[in-house]
Amino acid sequence: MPDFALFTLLNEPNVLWVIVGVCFLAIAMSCVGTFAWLNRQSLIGDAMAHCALPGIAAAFLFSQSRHPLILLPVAIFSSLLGNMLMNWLIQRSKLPADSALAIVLSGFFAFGALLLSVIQKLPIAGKSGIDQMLFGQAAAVDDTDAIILIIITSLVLLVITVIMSRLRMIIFDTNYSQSIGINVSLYKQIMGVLIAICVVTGIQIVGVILVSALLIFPAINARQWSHHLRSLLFIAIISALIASVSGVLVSYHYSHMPTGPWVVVFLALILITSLLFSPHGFLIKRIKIHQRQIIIHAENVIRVIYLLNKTNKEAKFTLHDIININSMPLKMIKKGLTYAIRQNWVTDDTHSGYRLTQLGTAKAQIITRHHRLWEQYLSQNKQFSTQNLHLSAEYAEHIIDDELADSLDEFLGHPSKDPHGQSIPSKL
Amino acid sequence: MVLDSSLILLYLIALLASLCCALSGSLLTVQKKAMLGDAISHSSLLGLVLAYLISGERSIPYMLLGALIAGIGTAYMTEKLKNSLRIQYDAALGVLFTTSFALAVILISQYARQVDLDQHCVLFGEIALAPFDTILFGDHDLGPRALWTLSIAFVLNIIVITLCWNRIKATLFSANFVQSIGLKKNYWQQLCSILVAITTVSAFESVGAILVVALLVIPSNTARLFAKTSLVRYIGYSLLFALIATVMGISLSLWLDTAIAATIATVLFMNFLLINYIKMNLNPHNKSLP
Repeated sequence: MPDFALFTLLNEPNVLWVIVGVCFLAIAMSCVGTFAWLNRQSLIGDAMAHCALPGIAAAFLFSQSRHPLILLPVAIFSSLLGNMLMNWLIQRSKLPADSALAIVLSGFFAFGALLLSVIQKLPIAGKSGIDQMLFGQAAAVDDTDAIILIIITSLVLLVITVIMSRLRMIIFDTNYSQSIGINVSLYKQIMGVLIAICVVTGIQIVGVILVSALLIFPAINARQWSHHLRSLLFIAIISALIASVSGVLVSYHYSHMPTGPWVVVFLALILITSLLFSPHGFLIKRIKIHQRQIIIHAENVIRVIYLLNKTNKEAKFTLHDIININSMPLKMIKKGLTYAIRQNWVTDDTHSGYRLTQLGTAKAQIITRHHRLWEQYLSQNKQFSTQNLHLSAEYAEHIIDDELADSLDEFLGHPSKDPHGQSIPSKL
Repeated sequence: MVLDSSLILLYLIALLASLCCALSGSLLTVQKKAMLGDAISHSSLLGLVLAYLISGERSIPYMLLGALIAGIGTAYMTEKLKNSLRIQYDAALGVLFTTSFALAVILISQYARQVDLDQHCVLFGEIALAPFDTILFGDHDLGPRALWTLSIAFVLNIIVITLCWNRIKATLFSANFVQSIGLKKNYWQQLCSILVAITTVSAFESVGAILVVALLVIPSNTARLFAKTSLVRYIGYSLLFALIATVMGISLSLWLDTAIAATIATVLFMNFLLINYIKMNLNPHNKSLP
């Protein structure tokens, strides 16, 4: 059983360290990424990851060692340099942000690649595979790496908690924050440092290209569910954690599978689910629109029966009668009728015909009142032609609520007849 | 340094690639979509891998087609995500290219024995090998394949830019103005995206993703420092800067014995920084502005 096998993996200390390491990295990156995303700097992580390459290459060239404690600080410094250059280009030479990002990204990375090609030509021991650092090796995380990741994450979270209220203010309104004396550029620089630290540590685990996914995905995902900063951060962290654990487990279960890409794939799956099923998501929106349409059909149908009731005292009507008055497609009428029966607006007397219940009559009366009040309002105040009056009221009758109807009634001086000469039903 | 035929071909390929990219890049810069080229070049790895797995052989036309479809798909999906789900443009780009890159890496490691592609070749590319990858038609050697694909891309670029001349001019002058007079954006934006995808794919398989991004973005932004309103000067300067940097880059890399693509891109970047710096110091108005 595959499920069972997945959980036995947890007993191996090696896997445990990888999971711990990746999870802590995911926590730090999703927090930092949420702020970057809110600042409309989604791709800054991508740029800063590429900017780390010349740092890595230069550090290796001069120290001839691959120890992370030598390479990491230089790499972080190099990506901070890239960030500063980006800000300088945007502020001083008025470059659009996206151009500055792409220029610095490609320029720094190209310089790094140049240094790498120099390294390849030199007789240095251990030079092979220095460029493999760019593609990440999550499986190589051991206990020391995991502890370094835990320390980095705690530091990042600590800094974010301390400056969170200020950051929130800057994101909400940068100009206002500046005007009340908050040092905006200082906080932006702090964020830059945090992003650099996270991204450079992330490169070793998921690789230079995929590291920006850990920044962007959790933020967009959380945004589908919440509008509040705290819950945004919370949801971002949770989704990143789920994706990391699943990614690590899958990559271990099927051997020769890279961890980073699997984490990204799980992040993407979570995002797709959110986009479809969140309260403002694609599917839910469609369902809501569909339901609203059915209610409108039902309201149209009971209004037709209500109007038929006025002329014909039989009080029972077949589908044919309804279609004669209202030229809706049959499918819509049927859907509307089903809904109306479920709502107990209409009874279906052994298929001999449809009859309005007391509830349905009241509902239809209210809709008719809205319809005619609206017609009256348009003809008195907006000089609509009679045909347009009806069309507009067909839409408005479903939207107007009781409060608006009352104020319309008062505004028009409690009219008793609509422009077609039909009486406006009174309020119940 | 001996000027043999393969070296001349190398110069030709690099120059064509940089001209193509400079033309497409000027469109991207005008539309403020500089990162699109980066995203397309990364996500086309998925197209390459899928085409490779489906066709079962390293057949170049299939792989180019696959990369092209992936590239156009990325551009199209980004617009979709931005417009119908209201995700920021660059966030949508980031989401799409990382996902397709991740899928591509997974597929590569799953079918490692069948696919001799890797992330490395996408990122760095090796233009030095491009002159030796020739097309054979019957017994005739028709010259390097990259030369052909890049020539086609170049002609397409010129056609599209001529067709959209007025539109680009208006957008360069003011993007808000173009929106305010109600010109329909969809048609020409999609045309531009397809053009960028064609250029990116045909260039990056010979010169590598990073050089493509540099060639797309840097010349047009350098040109923008000089030509704020004149489209002829804007495109002319872009082409000029691309040409100068390419020739300088290749010569420098042959002299220093470094990777060609990386050297060209570095020279482009250094030229940009230098020109930007000089321009700012010559123009006192720019200096005082915060």
